[in-house]
Amino acid sequence: MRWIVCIKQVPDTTEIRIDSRTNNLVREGIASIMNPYDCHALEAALQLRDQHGGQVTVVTMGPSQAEECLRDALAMGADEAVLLSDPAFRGADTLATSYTLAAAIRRLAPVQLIFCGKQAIDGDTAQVGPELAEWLGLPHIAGVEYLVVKANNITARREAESEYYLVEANLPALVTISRTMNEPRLPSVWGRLRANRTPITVWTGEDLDIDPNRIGLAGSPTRVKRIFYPQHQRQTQIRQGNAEQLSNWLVKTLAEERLL
Amino acid sequence: MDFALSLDQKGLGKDIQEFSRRFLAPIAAECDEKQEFIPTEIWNQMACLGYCGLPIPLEYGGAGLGALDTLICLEAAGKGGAAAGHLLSWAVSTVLGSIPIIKFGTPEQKELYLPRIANGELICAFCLTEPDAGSDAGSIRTRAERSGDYYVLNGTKAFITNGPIADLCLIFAVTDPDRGSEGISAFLVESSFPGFSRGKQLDKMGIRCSPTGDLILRDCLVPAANRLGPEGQGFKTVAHHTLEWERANFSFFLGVMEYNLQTCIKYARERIQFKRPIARFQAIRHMLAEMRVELDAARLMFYRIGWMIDQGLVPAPVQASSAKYFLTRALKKNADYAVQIHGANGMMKEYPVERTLRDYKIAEIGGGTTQIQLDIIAGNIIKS
Amino acid sequence: MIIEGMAIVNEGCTACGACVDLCPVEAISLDLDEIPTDETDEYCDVWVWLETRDNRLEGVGLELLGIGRELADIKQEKLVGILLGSKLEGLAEKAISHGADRVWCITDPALEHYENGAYTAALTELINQEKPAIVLLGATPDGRDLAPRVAARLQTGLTADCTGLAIELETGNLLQTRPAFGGNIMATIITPHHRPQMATVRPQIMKARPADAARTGEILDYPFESGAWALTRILSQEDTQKQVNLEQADIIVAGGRGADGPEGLQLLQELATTLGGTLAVSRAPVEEGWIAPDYQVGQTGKTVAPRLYIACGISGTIQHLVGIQGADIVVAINRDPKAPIFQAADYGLVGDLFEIVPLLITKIRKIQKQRHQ
Repeated sequence: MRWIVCIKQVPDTTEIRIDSRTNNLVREGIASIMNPYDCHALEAALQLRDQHGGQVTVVTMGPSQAEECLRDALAMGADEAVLLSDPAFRGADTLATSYTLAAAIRRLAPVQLIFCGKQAIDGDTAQVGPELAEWLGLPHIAGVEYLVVKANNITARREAESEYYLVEANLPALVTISRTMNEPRLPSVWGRLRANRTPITVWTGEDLDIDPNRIGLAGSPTRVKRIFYPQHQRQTQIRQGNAEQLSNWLVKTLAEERLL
Repeated sequence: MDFALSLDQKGLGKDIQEFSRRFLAPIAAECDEKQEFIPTEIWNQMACLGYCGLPIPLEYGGAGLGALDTLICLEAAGKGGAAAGHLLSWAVSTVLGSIPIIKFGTPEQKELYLPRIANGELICAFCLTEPDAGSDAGSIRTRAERSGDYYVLNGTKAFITNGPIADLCLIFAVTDPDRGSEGISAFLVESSFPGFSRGKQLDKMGIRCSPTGDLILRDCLVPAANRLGPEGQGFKTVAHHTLEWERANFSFFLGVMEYNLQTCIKYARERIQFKRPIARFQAIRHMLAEMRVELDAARLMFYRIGWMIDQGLVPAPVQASSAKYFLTRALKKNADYAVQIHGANGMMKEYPVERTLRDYKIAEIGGGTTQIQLDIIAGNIIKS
Repeated sequence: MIIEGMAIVNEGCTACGACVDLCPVEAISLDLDEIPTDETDEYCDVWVWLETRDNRLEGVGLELLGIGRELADIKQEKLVGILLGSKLEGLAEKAISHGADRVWCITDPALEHYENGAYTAALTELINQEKPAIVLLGATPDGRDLAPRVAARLQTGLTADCTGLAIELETGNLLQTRPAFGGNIMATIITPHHRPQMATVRPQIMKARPADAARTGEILDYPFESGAWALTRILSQEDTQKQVNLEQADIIVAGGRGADGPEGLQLLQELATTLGGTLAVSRAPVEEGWIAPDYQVGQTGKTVAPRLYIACGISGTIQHLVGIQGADIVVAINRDPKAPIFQAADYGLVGDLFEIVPLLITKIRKIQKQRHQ
């Protein structure tokens, strides 16, 4: 039985600051981490493997440095890791990414259940999971925070706008995992040492049955037209001083704005 | 020569720093206030992750790490913001508790104790110091007299790290009073042995998260099979050949210094005086730079000791004592500057730098005082 | 990528083109194989999925009609609403009063609750038949579940969680602007050669038009057996007992990493209670486990539009700021005068929240007491 977890290496966006003088992103020393949502997806898969047996395979698409997050996944307990790395994969949007992942997962068949994080903290699109399910022709349940796996189907609870749905789907299927589902484990020392000694499978485009027009930038319907730093419209009044002065000023201001 | 950390070292450091940040840093202030060790639940988790058996061989349930890897792990825990006291107790139990057994234990002793140290069941103590034998460790008076299949131990051990909580104590006692330090033997004493009792937990100024206390042995019956190493070799062999490890154990303070430095950099960027962040003032900048330089130097000296142990280039008393001596000096300045940079805030208990200024003192005293380190260095270089 | 104002082209290049725009001497060009233009002209009209819940229109649908109307007017095309559900009486009329020219209805018992298989099939079928140029969905949990499934089936582009939409006049392309890179930068995305151009749109950002009962439009039924297409089975539905309703809050006091722990948030809760408002947080407190995710404002949390937003100990990553764009007045309390939150605030207090907030509570209570007397 094979449990697949799709993960992504992302910059630790909580660490990112903007230089107030140049208005540029300060990226120096920003660590690359496994997308935090994916840690929860991996944890979910590991728990199910421990319960039902089988093996957990983690898959990521990215440059060679993305190996680091595969090692983290192996350290947490994944059994094998596949890196999809090819210059031709570059510039992929969610459609091209999910197409490529789908091709890799077909090579890993038969597959029981595919896990993705609900979204990634760099792009925050939450699109790759459902798109991947569509490419594979599988049912998907997004934003899962409770999951039971039976022989032929899964039951999952997903959170919608103002209610929960208990949803059932036949296996194989794909789920995207919410961060409230579990608490990801930390790697043990043994896990970390084993991870560093586990070979990582690297597949390029040639290893996959793919249409070159559907991968990378060429296979991406969307284009980034422009990137800019947000402008703030407010006329800021800033005060410094001791707490007494500052609180007096604010209370007075709020009273003038009729907010008290 | 290669100064790059290995994949294992980087990965383990990352994991343990994260563990420390998540689980040990949040409890540091409260445990310091109440003089409490790591709660059982967290300790058990550390054991599950392999942290209680870092240098213990794999076949005994440990992680099988070498010295350099182990001290990088200890350092990483400090970086994550854990209390120095917790780390001291952990290092003493995990490293000083296991190394003598690994090096000098019989197969039966290893089988009996190493797996239970690794799985967190046994907390260990290293018991040399007595009320009248501190720096002059060779002058201990605790007696061990052979009686059939047992030794009968009588005496008091003082200021023992983990004394109030230890399950397994490596106790040094005199078996032959006529032979001076060559009449000292080492014993693995379980706290459940008859005649073993503890004094009360001592109230200390620093490393309050590390429980310290006296151990009292009154006709304590220790099976002869629990003698570690040959009779008369307790001091000359067991204690002496653990010295490098004993020094290297202080590497958690490298992490504490790093944590302090990062805390100070952040504070200096945010704290405004004279309409600008204090990080702009040369007086502050130079303190930060000094902290960085000395931390770096101390780190390199420690990594060298770890490397020398791994290479079998021991005994290395000069390098080991130099590393500890230098670390202590750097740490003292680091703790002092950290509070100074924080100004009045730095004296407040809510800032972790305050704790370090109390905690650092153990490094000048424990594991051989600064003066003893200098004596060892001088003795060795003048002799040669 | 652009680091410190310098273009770096390496293995991490995503061909985003930012370097091309930046280079002052036009030394960098992006050599892309242009995909042959498909018959994009064939596609016209702006479509909006009108999300329903318990046979009522969700607010986000009306917001989409608001922005959709603007886009359709620029393109001189029709604005079309799509209704999927089991009982749709009166909803199409309402959509028309809020700006739709035409409403397609697919009524089927299988569409009573949102189910991604049936909804995907129904929407895709309709799109394939009618060929709209633009399809907009709300960036709600269901909208963000449905849109990628539909986009992948149509093999077209999709832009998530847009906060701005416009039409590029030269090409007629939809300019889809969204926060990217953890919300620290904004990116404008286009879908040049694929149709329809699909986007999900963040709720609470676009303005709905007031209802105009005099407006007229076409209401069309599309018969479609969607039940056969279901991929999942809904076993039960249960309302979340959400304590927090940040979206509707009038006054919000929010805490970030600077709140330093649950006790700090407790203090902010006290200020919120004093002001008759609600507590919220940035991402850090949720990640640190100080509070439930329901309280989070920002890119990955809620978008809010209160009259007053007091940010305490929040540095102000754009990931957070996108969530408070709609606030009338933003007050920031932070120790770091360089914190970006100050640029997004109306009033900034440089100081320690643990000193300022208790004083605020005391002073506001005093004023309130005086008023009562």
